[in-house]
Amino acid sequence: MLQLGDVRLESRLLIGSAQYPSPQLMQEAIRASGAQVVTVSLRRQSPASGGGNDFWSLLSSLQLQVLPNTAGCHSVKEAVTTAQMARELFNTRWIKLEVIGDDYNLQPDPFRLLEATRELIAQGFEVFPYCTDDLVLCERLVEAGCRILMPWGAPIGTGKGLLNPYALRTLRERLPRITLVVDAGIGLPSHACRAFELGFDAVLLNTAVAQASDPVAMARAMKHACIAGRLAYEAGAMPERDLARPSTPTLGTPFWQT
Amino acid sequence: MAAATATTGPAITVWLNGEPRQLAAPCALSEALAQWQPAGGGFAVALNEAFVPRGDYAAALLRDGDRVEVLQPMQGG
Repeated sequence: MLQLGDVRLESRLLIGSAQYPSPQLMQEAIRASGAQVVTVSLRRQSPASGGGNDFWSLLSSLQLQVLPNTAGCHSVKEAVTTAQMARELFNTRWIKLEVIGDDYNLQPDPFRLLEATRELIAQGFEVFPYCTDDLVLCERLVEAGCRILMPWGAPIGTGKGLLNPYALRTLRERLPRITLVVDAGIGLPSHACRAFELGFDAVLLNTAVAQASDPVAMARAMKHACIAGRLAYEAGAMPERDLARPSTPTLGTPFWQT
Repeated sequence: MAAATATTGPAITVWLNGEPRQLAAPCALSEALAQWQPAGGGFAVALNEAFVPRGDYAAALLRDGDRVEVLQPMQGG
């Protein structure tokens, strides 16, 4: 079971709702993933989109935990205001806090992220900070009151996987009681599986499923990868060795003479 | 909060989601929203980059040059 704030969930896969070929495929893929948490955003109301009603009614029918984000925010004020609006609109104190510092790789701004986190926690939010894998930043976020951290595996939408497994493993070792989620950069089921093998509690992904040739099939693959990775972590992996060692017993080897 | 009283006065321009909108006179946010008719089913509002809770729409007075953001649920990652 995944402990996410005050909620316990069966699925360790958190999924995004963007970039699917159609709303129906979004619905089918999310259902196939088995995810119980879905991320959403807030954008300017557009009459052409029916005020967001169609999207929202489709998503609501899945009856999942909603995790609103502050995607696109660059300042503390923008992020805090967006979070406040999300709390009213989605009736949740959860917020995936994104404060972007660089438009080239969409890297989080660690300084503004920490400032916004402090402000939002003071206002009663459960902050899910989208952060880099920097240990000291993560420790500061925990000191600010975060129970969940969401370091990137790679920049958003790149599908490059876990670029710095050492840093992620270090986070797991140094922050054993914090819920750790790899957010962003997952491109393949093997990437998701690897995150769990490192001891992460969950992964959040979107593009890998939404932009697959068959999003529903990829959603299913991700679901199984997450289950496999977590089981492997709980099972305890064998120690890696540099030298080969036969797995078949050498005692009784035929055709052998002294 | 007490409801803001719509005042008579010169026409004003406010910015709704980045687009200029004329109002006949300074008025409460609730009146402007009734005029603009945001689609139902859920929206949240910020005035000059500050969140306005739904219960405060009637008390928030719009002035010339104010920036109103009306946001809706949208796909997100």
